[in-house]
Formats: sequence, C-alpha cells, structure tokens
Amino acid sequence: DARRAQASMQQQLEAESNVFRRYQKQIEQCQEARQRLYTQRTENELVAKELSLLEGDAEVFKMVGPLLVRQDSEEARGNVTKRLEYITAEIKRTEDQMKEAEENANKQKEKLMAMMQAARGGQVPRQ
Amino acid sequence: MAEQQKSIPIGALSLEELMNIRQRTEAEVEQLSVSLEALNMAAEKFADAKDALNVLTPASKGKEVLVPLTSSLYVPGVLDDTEHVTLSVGANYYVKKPIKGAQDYFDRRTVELQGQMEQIAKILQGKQQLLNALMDTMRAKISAQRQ
Repeated sequence: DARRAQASMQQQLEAESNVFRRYQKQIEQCQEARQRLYTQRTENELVAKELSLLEGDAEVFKMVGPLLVRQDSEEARGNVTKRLEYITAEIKRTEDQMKEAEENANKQKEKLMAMMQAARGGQVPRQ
Repeated sequence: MAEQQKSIPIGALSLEELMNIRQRTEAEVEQLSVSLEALNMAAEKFADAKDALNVLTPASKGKEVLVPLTSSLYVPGVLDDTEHVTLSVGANYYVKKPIKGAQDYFDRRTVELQGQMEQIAKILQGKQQLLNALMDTMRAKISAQRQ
C-alpha cells in the first residue's frame, strides 16, 4: 500500500532528523563548554604568571567565601599549576567529545540525504 | 569555530552565498566590537585602581577612614599600613604588594590589554573591509540582474 509506505517513511525521516538534531545539540554544548574552559585557562595562566613574579616573602591569599585566607606562595603556585593541568585535560576531553559528535552528525546527515533521495525516487510518476 | 576560508574571488559567488557570508561577517563584527569594548572597560578599571593608590601616602598614615561592611553600611577605621595593598590577581587569588609593586602590576596588565586591543582592532578592520567588498559586489550583481 503506497500511502502507508509513504507515511512510515515520513515517520522514519522525522525520527532520523531528531537524531541528527540531537547530535547538533551535543556539538553546541561541547563548544560552549570549551569556551568556558578556555576562559578559565586564560585566567589561571594569568594568576600563575603573577605568582611566579612574586618575591620570596610576598604574601598570598585565597578568597574562600567571604574570607581572605593566607596561603604559602609555593603551595599557591602548585595549586594553580594543578588546576591548569586539570583544565587542559578537560579541554582535550571536550574536544574529543565534540569530534565524536561531529562525526556522528555527519554520518547522520548522509543517512538522511540518502533517505530523502530514496523517498523522492519512489515518487517518480509512471508515464 | 573551525571555518573553511573561501579563497574564491567574491565575484564568483552567487547572491545567496554573498548574503550568507555577509550575515556571518556582520555577526563577527558585532562580537569583536563587544570584546573590544569589554577590554576597554577593563583597561579603565586598572587605570582607576592605579589612581586610587595615590591616596596612600606616608602622610596619610593614621588618618581616619570609613570602611564598608556592606554597600550601605560603614564603620570608622584608621589607615594603618600605607605601604602595602592586597590586590586581586584572578581566580580568587590575592597578593599583598608594596605600592610600587601594585603600580607595576597595573602597568603590566594595562600594557597587555592594549596589545590585545590592537590585535582585535586589526581583525575588526579586516572584517569591516570584507563587509564593504561584499556589499559592493552584491550591489553590482543586483544591478546586473536588473538589466
């Protein structure tokens, strides 16, 4: 039955389109996350530089809630370095996720185009 | 963010493609302008902070000040240490520096900002030129179509 076949093809198309949109959303989320991470990385790099320029006896404080808490400058440098390593790792992870989502999206797009071609192919009227 | 740069002469592009690129470029120009403005404001803040340091002189030691507890509640205090300030260096870290060190810090950050502003201004200019070229090409194509 041609009409039923067409309806089910429409449903399939819609389902696959939703899958494609999902991948696009994932890509978008990865981009946003990466942007946030870039900002954090820049900020922490700045702090690391400032801390490295300090003279030996300079006092370093960390704001914990509403309090300024004294920190040892070596310890502070270490903490910032560790944080930077973490952020860099997170950036890599996010980029890997984004690449995977992009690959999935591209494959899905090809699948959709093939489906639309097939749908059109079935509609050629017989003369 | 990864876009393919078209090395095709813009005259070879269709009107639709031109409009597409124009939209994208206009959005980029908008974003760059916003960034430039933000950098400008940050530079101003550093300049203000550096100025504020001038309040702290050896003569001001022992002077009475009002210390804010909230944005509308102050308590009286006395300037004790007029040789050092504690400033924010980012990521919730603060460093206590002598006045001279603080001035150097503000100078350093200001110079950095100026460098960044120059970079962005250059890119902005490039995009603006692209925009003008696009508009010219589009106008030419439209009038060619009308003939």
